[in-house]
Amino acid sequence: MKRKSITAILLVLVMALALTACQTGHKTPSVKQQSMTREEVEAQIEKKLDELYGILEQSEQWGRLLEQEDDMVNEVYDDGSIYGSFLDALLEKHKDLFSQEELKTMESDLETIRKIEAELLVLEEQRQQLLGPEDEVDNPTAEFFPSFEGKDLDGNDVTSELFKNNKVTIVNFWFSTCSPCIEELDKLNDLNEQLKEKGGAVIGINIDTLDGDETQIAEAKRILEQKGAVYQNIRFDSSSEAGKFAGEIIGFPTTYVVDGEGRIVGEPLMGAINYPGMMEVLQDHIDQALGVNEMFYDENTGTDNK
Amino acid sequence: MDSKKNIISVFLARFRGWIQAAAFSLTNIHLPNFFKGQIYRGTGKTVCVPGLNCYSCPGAAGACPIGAFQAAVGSSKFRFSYYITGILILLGVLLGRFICGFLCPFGWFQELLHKIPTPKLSTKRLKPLRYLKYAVLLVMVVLLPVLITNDLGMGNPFFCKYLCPQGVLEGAIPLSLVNSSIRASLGSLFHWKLAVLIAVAVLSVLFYRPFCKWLCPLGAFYALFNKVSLLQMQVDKNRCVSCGKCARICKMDVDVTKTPNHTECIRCGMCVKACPVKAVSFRYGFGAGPADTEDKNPITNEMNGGLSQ
Repeated sequence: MKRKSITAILLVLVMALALTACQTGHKTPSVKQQSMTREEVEAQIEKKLDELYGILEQSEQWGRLLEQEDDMVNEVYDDGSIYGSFLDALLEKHKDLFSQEELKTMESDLETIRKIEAELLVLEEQRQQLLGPEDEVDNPTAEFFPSFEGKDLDGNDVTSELFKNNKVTIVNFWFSTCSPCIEELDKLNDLNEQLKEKGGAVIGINIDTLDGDETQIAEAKRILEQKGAVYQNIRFDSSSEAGKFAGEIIGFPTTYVVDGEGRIVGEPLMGAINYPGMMEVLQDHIDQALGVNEMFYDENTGTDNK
Repeated sequence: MDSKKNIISVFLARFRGWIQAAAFSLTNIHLPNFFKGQIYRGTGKTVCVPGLNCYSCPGAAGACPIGAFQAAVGSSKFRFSYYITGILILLGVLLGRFICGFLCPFGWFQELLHKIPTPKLSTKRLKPLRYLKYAVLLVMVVLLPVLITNDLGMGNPFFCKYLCPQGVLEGAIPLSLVNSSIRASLGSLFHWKLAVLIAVAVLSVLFYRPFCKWLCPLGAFYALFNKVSLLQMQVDKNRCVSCGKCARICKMDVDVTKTPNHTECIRCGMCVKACPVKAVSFRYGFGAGPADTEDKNPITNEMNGGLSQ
């Protein structure tokens, strides 16, 4: 009797330890050997960015100009410049707010900004080259959303190229008998409408429909219609790369935020977006994807540098 | 000489801990998933395991019958889950609360905690709390998932969502340790159920199987089948010396000589082990209630193999 209880307690202890072991094993990041050069490059990037923001923050005119636009839209222009061209366009629009003299200094500021940006581009390229393979292994958050070729529920062809057409894409995984998934569909539709203005979109993936079962597709469409969700819902083969990716999701709904380059931003959100606190996290991810300095996206934390 | 039945009874009673460990391992056979933070989702999950074992346990080989029942009645596709209810009735008729005593992982968990050496408290005075579990079964498992639905006629698994400590123990805790997005999604519901789990764990140290006695809807369902189950307790009145040891040792507060098939009896066999004259045994098969038969017709009993003097 006594021996039995000791065995039992030992067994529980071993099981508990096994779990803790796997926990620590997973969380402890591997010791990375960072070459000095990479740190130097990063420090320089940091310095250049400070310089750039410094110009904008120190002058009263720029503050006045930026007030005109709440949304710092982040378009990467043909010349690779983000701020330069944006500010240029903005200045063009609100020229009449400034005196000739002010305009002159602003033009010269713009010149400097463009120069800094050009330097930043080179530095970023250097930094990318210095990133070893271990950065990618350690870095599940900066994965790309797996590519796919599929159809939407109306039968139109879609591919993962769709991410490139949006500045941000919210990918929501759900299924037809999941009640929290269905409860958030109208909220996702609202989000889709909001994002449209910013060049983003929501897409849904109902995992019941993945292999094109007609009754499942009809059921999914019925639910979407009933909840007034009109955004695109897509499907692909469950044997495809994206299908396997979907097959590994263990909780529904799960929502991914994908940036304009098809990269997953931050951790996927598990649970409906209408749960307390979820919308804030989602908004944070969206802001990251839309982030003005997306070029300098921190690959290690999946967060913005700035 | 002991009859074959007695030998089996004593064997079962003596090695119950090992059978519980084996049942736990078989129920949660997919061990590598604990490290991957994944759950198994193969065809095994279309079948229920007999005990209370969370579907979302990384290792789980099958679905939890209570979880599956709520998922089915709560879905807009099905009005009633005939499949799950059928399995539950079958298990109830075949084994009854033997499942609680021998096969249920959460029952085993509570028993292991109870082995922690502290002063133990009796539940004899808390008998009215036993009826709570029928309320849990009726309200949280059957009624609320059916009645409280959204605009598409879908309900929530209320028991799993708001009460079940096994879900936290086997699902939320191991998954959130390894899977960061699950960890990020833990909110007030998790904290509430973690509190339930801690309360159940603390009570388990002091009382014997508090969750089984007072709250478990699965135990409540099997309890209803204890009287008609093929597996029953049998007291050989010709051997019994009325010493009362069986009633005193019983941690489920049952007097096996008076009510061998009490709804609270989890067939743990402590009375089998305790009986100085080996009058108590398990009995399996069809036939009238053994106590009645023995009183009125000892010959039939002898033919059943109950006596061999």
